[in-house]
Amino acid sequence: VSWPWIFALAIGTYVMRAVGPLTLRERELPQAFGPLVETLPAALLAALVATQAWGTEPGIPRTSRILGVAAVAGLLPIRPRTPLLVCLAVAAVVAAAIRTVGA
Amino acid sequence: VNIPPSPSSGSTRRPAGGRDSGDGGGGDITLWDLGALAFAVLLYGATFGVIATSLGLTSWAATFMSFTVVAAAAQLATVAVMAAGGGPLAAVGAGLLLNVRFIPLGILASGELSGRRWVRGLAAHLIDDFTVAVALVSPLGRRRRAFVGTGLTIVIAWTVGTAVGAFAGEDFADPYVLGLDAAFPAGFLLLLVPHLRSRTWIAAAIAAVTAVALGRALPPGLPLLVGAAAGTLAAVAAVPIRPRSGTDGQ
Repeated sequence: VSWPWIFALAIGTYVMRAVGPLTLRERELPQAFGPLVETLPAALLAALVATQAWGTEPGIPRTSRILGVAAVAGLLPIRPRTPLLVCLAVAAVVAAAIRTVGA
Repeated sequence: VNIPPSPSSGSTRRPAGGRDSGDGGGGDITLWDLGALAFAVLLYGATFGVIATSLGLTSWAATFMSFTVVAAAAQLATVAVMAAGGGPLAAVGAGLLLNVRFIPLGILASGELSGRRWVRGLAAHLIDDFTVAVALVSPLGRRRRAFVGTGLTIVIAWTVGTAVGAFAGEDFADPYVLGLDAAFPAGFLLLLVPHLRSRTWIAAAIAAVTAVALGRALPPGLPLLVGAAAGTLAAVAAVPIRPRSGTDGQ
């Protein structure tokens, strides 16, 4: 990938990031959007968790990753205030352990 | 992928709409959280640096790309398509398609970004799945701090990590051996939990199932958007809005 194409990717990405913040300013969204805005973050986060846990790259074992995420999913209801560091570590260690064992 | 039920949706009453004091919800971002984030992103950045240079990018180009694009999936896709002989247009197109989600994320974040136009313009560079999610689950008065704190951490760690991997070469462990690919969805899961209430549970479940089901049918990046939109619309349509769900919760 040569420099001009890296610039193109960077500029295109920046434009997509900036569209909302630069055009909406602090304008209030119409009231009808209230329930949508209240619900969207949960949907977006759930879709992120699901797609990342499921994965798209071929050749990478999926089960170990899903079990790593599932370990955190089991932990959170018991300890809802688990720090981020612990969540990341639990998922990584479980997935890595399963891979080391060779599942 | 099934996300098991959390007691927070029923028994313990979470502050619903009014998360304006530091009680519960997502809580505050601590330095420990930023440290953990920096560490994970550094390792991930280093592996990108190694991959990118092994696929033909110069070390400087890889570092510059990380600093200016700050989107792991898009950068990997671009470099991989290029290396597979897809041509620069297809490579950049694949990367940009993965980043289309920054448009709705930016719209979500725009409410939290105040200040002058150039400040908003600079802050827009920090928009990311993680930073926007952190901002949205933080207590009302501390959202901007959470957004900027995690955003700067990610940009710096990602760029430095890439540089280390690109310049120092291949002495890095495989991220999959370390289980890093499981760590990132787990981080998002932590952010999701305080968001789960009766209506959002339905939205979350539909979004997760839809996004995964569409994984093979749509180009990368789109299943996430379609899933999130489908979950949101279905939940809003299915669950009637209780009177006054706006400012004060119950």
